Amino acid sequence: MVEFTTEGLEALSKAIAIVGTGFASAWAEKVIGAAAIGAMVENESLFGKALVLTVLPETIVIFGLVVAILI
Amino acid sequence: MITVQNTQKIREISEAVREKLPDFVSKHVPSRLPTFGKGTSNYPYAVTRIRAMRVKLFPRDAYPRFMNMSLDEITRKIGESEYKQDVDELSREYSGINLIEHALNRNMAVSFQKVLRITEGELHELILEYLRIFDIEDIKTILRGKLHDISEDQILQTLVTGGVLRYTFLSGLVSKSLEEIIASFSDSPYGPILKKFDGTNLPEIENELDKFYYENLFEAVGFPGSADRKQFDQFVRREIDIKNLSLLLRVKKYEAIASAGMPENTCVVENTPSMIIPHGFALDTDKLKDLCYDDFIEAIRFTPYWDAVGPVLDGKDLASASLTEAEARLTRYNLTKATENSRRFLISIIPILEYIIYKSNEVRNLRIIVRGKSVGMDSDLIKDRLVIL
Repeated sequence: MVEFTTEGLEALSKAIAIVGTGFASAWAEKVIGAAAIGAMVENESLFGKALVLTVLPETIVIFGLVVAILI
Repeated sequence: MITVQNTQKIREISEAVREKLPDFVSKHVPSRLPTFGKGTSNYPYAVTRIRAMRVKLFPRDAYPRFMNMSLDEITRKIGESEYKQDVDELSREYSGINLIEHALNRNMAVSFQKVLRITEGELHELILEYLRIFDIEDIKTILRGKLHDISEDQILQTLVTGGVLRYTFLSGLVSKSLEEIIASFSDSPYGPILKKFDGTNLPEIENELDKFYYENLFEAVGFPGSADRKQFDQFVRREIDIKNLSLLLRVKKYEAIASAGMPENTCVVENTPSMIIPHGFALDTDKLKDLCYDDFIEAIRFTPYWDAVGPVLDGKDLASASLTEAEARLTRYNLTKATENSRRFLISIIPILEYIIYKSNEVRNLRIIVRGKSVGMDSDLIKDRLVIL
């Protein structure tokens, strides 16, 4: 029989927050990264903007981290 | 990545499956099983890269400047742009207007080959099928040229080679006889159609090639299950409508001239079904082809294309209605729709199709300016034929 303790549920919630946001930012970065490379191949001057846009989804996982700390 | 060989394999598997099914089931199975979903297609990469290529096309304010330039100035200006490499490499062989024509066509072919190289999977397959229209156009150009004894240089100048057939193959055909050209295509999908060519039925062969192209394209799209295939399907159907409408406008004008002096509500109706391409989007061609000019104009008033052609045709008599302007407006409508849809469906096939039609339009515009200037055409006449967006 599985027993649910408060500590266990807390740990599980933190894990879900981190895993969910981790996957979300990975998927978003994959799409934006591919698009950024495509744009940069044709126009190298877009490197700065493309880099900023590529790392922008990192904020999603940071939100997840903050939520995990607050739990 | 879906290559031509893989496409052939998919077709073979599909045919094998159809053979084993009872008739009442197999008739619902398309001859080519479509690949559902976006699969391995690299949409974000391909679409953004092609959008970046689209930005490099000449802006709308470049054309009035071209209009005020001499041919040498245009050559120099084109040679400083995206066409630089083509102009530089071809300048050893050609000069003047021939150089511009060859450079424009070569650049377009290279750009479309690049689009094919960039795209993968389902996206690549659909674009490949779409670009076959340039193969059809080139085959038609060669047949027409050979039939009317046009010089090899002139035929070569008009070849676009934007499709699957390469310049080396097509330019090799130009020096052959008509029989040899048809024999060269015997193993290709165009072989059975070209075999029917007897030297007198070129218009029929051309119509059959056009119809074959669209049938093949719809077969490639299959059942438009994904949103992307639906968009592609609509895009192609709109193009068919525009081709049919341009054709019908010309036919109706001709019919109206032939019917002059006949009693009211009666007119000569030409037999056009062989020229009309089926599977359009919003035009009921079966009904339209049997109408007299005035009724025809009333009927197209309720189609989405009226906003485009209305200002040219509405309330004007036949003599003053400029069909060239109406055709230019229809092309503009198609380009505008493609732009609208490419903004709605950001990561889809539409921005790629938009690039292809804008690139063809740019080359077409530049050729009109250059050709028009070389024969001393009036600048207003040249402007009427340009489609600038």
